[in-house]
Amino acid sequence: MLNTLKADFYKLKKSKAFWICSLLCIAIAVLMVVAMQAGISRAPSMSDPQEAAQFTALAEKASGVFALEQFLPMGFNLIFIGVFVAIFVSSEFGFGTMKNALSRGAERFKVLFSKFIICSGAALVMLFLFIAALLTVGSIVWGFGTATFTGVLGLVFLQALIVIAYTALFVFISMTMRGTGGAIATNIISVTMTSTLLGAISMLFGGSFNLSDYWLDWGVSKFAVLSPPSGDIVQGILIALGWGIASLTVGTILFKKQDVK
Amino acid sequence: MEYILQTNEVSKDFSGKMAVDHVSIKVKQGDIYGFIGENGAGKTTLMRMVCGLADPTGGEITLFGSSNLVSQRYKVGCTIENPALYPVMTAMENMEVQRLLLGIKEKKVCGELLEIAGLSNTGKKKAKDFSLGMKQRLMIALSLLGNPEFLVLDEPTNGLDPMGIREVRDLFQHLNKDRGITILVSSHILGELEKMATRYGVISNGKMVDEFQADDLAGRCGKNLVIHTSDPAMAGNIISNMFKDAQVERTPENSIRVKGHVEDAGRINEQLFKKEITVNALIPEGDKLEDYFLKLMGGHKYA
Repeated sequence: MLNTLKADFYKLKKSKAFWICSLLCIAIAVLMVVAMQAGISRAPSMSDPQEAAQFTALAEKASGVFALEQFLPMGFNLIFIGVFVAIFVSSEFGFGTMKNALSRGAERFKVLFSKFIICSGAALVMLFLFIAALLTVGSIVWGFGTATFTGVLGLVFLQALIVIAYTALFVFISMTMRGTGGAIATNIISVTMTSTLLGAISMLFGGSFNLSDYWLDWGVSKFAVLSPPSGDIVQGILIALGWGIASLTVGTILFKKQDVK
Repeated sequence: MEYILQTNEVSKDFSGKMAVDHVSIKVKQGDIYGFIGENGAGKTTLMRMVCGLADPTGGEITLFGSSNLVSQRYKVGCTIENPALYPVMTAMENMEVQRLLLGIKEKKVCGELLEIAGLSNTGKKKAKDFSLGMKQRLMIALSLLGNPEFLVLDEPTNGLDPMGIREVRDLFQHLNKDRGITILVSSHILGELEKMATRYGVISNGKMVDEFQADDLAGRCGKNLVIHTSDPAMAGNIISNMFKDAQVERTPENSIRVKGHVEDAGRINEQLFKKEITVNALIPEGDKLEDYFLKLMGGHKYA
């Protein structure tokens, strides 16, 4: 297992996709803050009074911490993580290099789990870069805001949990689909559209329950606040654990059954 | 442990189509086992099963006398189908990934194997810019990491020029003789295989057709008589009249080849002399592996 991890870590260091996606996480965070500040600056001269009022209200709340709460639920970092994982994992099948590991006796579960661990590490780096960029640039522009260090740490921890669960899902999708293009598309769809689709399906059943409350995206938005209610924390942790474990379990079973070309 | 690899009635079924149908082969320690078959015969599928890339739907595989294949595969180096490389990495970086994967401590082994494979001067050139021959060599170097005792090589000479093919053949023979590495190799270049294999297995339509020692090849192959004469056409007619079962054919060198009848060389010479046909040479000739393979396949298929 340790050898597989070492080899995967070496590949991560050499992966252009990782470095590009990490830079994009920083770039998109900076862009979001700059765009919001541009809107706030133009508020007095806006022709639409409603829009002007919205930006004026934002100006009163704007801070580095507020930027976190505002932009984390949008899931930009998750999209880049999804793209990276798809490229990193499914390219092993595209290049045929998965054969090199399996033919030398690497166990399939360990191969999958190693990919999950390395991708989780990479995903956390991207999350931290996204958060750090939002906090830093937001603080420079508007100030840090009213939040304790432990409050921010709690937010980061809960977001990290959701990101790891998403990564498990992305690894499962990429290991199962094996084609980079398909895996990228499916990973992006799982971040951007699944919540809406589950909400629509729930409506078909009368709307008495909402399936999207059990999807990972629920945790992303609920955990993007400094002090989420304890009930939400428990539900979010259960959702993350549920999806994470299910993804790894099903992924392992499928990977063990499938031939590798 | 006499056998490095044994397959016992191994089968692989792809949605009702038997790609490998109850195949049993035995690869002895020290063998260079030439695995022959036409395209789609099941060679690669069987090799993929041996290497753990596909599960058999029936039968049993044992490696080094053990059915616990995962634990034994560390001792097996494989190259199956196309070269499997990281295109944006250099030869050394590709080697490094595999070295880490196998937990090999000495870094210098990568350089040594690249030297053996003739790739020590590739520097920062990425694998994506390698020729197919260079990729094949790199795959061979990768498969040699970890001092494997058994190599499974599927078409390892694909894309190599004649010089490269010879070098690879020499390398395999060196590995076999000097390092005692057993090799299972498939190739469409039967002439090359014939120069190094010590044992052969022939597969057709997923079924094992024949398995024999290289020494037995001569016994299985037909004996012919090649005759260089001043008048090949007339000589052919005379020989056809002499023997009702004679199969006479013209060679590209404008000689004639008589299938069988090696023991009748003297009589043929006498008859041709009587008809004032000069016989320049009478050469007994055995079928080559390729001829034998074509005979097994019905004469019309290609390896």
